[in-house]
Amino acid sequence: MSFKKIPCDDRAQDKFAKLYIRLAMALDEEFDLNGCIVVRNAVKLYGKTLGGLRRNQLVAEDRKVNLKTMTKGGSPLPCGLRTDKEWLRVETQEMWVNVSTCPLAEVWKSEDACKLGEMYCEEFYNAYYKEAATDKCQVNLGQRITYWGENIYHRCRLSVYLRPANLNAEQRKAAFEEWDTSYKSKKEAVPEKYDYDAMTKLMYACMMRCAQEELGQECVEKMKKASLDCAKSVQDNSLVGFICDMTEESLRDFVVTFDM
Amino acid sequence: MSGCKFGALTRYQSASAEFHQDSWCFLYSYLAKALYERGGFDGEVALRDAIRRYAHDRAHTVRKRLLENNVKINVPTFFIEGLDRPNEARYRNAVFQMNEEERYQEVHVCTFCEMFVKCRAKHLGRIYCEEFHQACYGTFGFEKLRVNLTRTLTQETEDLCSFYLTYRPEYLTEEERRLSFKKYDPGYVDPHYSVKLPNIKVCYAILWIKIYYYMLEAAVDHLGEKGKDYIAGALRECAVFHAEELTKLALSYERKNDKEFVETFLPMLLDVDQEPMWEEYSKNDAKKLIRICFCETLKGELGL
Repeated sequence: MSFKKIPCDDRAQDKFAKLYIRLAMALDEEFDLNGCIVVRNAVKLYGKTLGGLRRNQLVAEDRKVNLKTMTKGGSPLPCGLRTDKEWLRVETQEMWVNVSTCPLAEVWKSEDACKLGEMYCEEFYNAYYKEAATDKCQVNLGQRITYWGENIYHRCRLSVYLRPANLNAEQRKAAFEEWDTSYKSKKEAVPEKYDYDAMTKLMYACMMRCAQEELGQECVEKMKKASLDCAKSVQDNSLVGFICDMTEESLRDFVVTFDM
Repeated sequence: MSGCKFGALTRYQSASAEFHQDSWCFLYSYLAKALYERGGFDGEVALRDAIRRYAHDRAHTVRKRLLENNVKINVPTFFIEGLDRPNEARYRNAVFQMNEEERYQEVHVCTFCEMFVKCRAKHLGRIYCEEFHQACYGTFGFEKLRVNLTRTLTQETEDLCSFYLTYRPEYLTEEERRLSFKKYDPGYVDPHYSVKLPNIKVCYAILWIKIYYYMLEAAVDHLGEKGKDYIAGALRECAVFHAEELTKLALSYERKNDKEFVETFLPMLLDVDQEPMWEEYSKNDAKKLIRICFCETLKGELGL
């Protein structure tokens, strides 16, 4: 199986990483444990939204939703030439990948906030795969680049499993060709959509929604200020406009109807 | 920590202790093979389900014991105070990081894996690794302890197991946090609890009976009477294999392969009426089946 380097806007990806980490830092600093709960919930919501989008994209193209179809033509991992991925196994039931350089981790390291960066990885991949495939999908993420202990590994390893024996009949049919006798196999990959400008806005919307739900208006105001400061510091006028224009209600709609 | 390692044993005593664990692996391999190879797809469903049921049982037992002794539920307590079988000398691992929230560990030599290979059941060992750790550790941590098992020795291309466990306060409810972390329970007084395990034979007899019991239960639930037949057949085959292994061991230690030798090496009691656990683990004629298919076959093979 061959892989294409997915076109990636490096600048936008860095802005995404920066916005995430600045908001996570603000939440951690201001609200401690409850702030971290908001961060994790927001990343889960973000992961679920993107996972659902990938599933819908594959289903719309009449593809089975399994680890091979999800990975062929993209993956939820960071993208671009600065991301060094080693695909060890990509099958319908199993996906193993090593990531030895990660632009998201680079940003988080530069902000001295690796622990908060890890929160993203811990929540995002679980939420993404479980939403895209099923909650029976087993996501294992170990050997983290973001870990600065006396570790021998400076890479991440992601091992994901989707076993027919753990799915019900309907889920099996949706995931595997061999469980759908009438299905005509399709070879072409369905490219995953990447638009880090849009994904940055989605992350902001998820943070604001979870902040509102968990900690209320005081937290929302602080997050809005931190977001604006960040957007201005990276000179992203589109993001500044988005933050200023969006209301609580329109942010909720933005998450629900998100597309790229 | 006293009482948790094999301690200063003679080689003969160590060999018997090791065999208790190996016997569990033989049992798992034979039962798993029966379900997987004879039961078809539903057999695999049953196998995975059985492993999870076994894992839940172990985890609930450990968690209950720790809570009763006012021990916090977190990553180190699972591995130290929560121990339910002795560590063993052949196992080689390296723990790079462990705190209340995390454990990062590699396993370089796993005797479970070696025994699965010996029984030509490495692929079934992989299924065990995939299901057991998630279900057991997860259940222990109020279903919220996450296991990231990215590599296992039971996979053809891997040369180690890599575990990364996370148990974050953010995952938990307020009450679960209080039960899990000292910092969320200001009045907490450390009970200085230390696990006192029963002897090795008893520890492994418990695990032996539990894995068998849940394999049988899941086989019946998913495959009906056929499932019971598969398990019965597997028990007979497993007894024959045990007889061969015990004979080899007796020869190597220049011992007679008699009842005393078998009872020293075998974790479970050959006289099933002496084992109180069968009262609780009795569904699906579990005790009767083990007596007829395993104990009688083993005795017959060894002329006991």
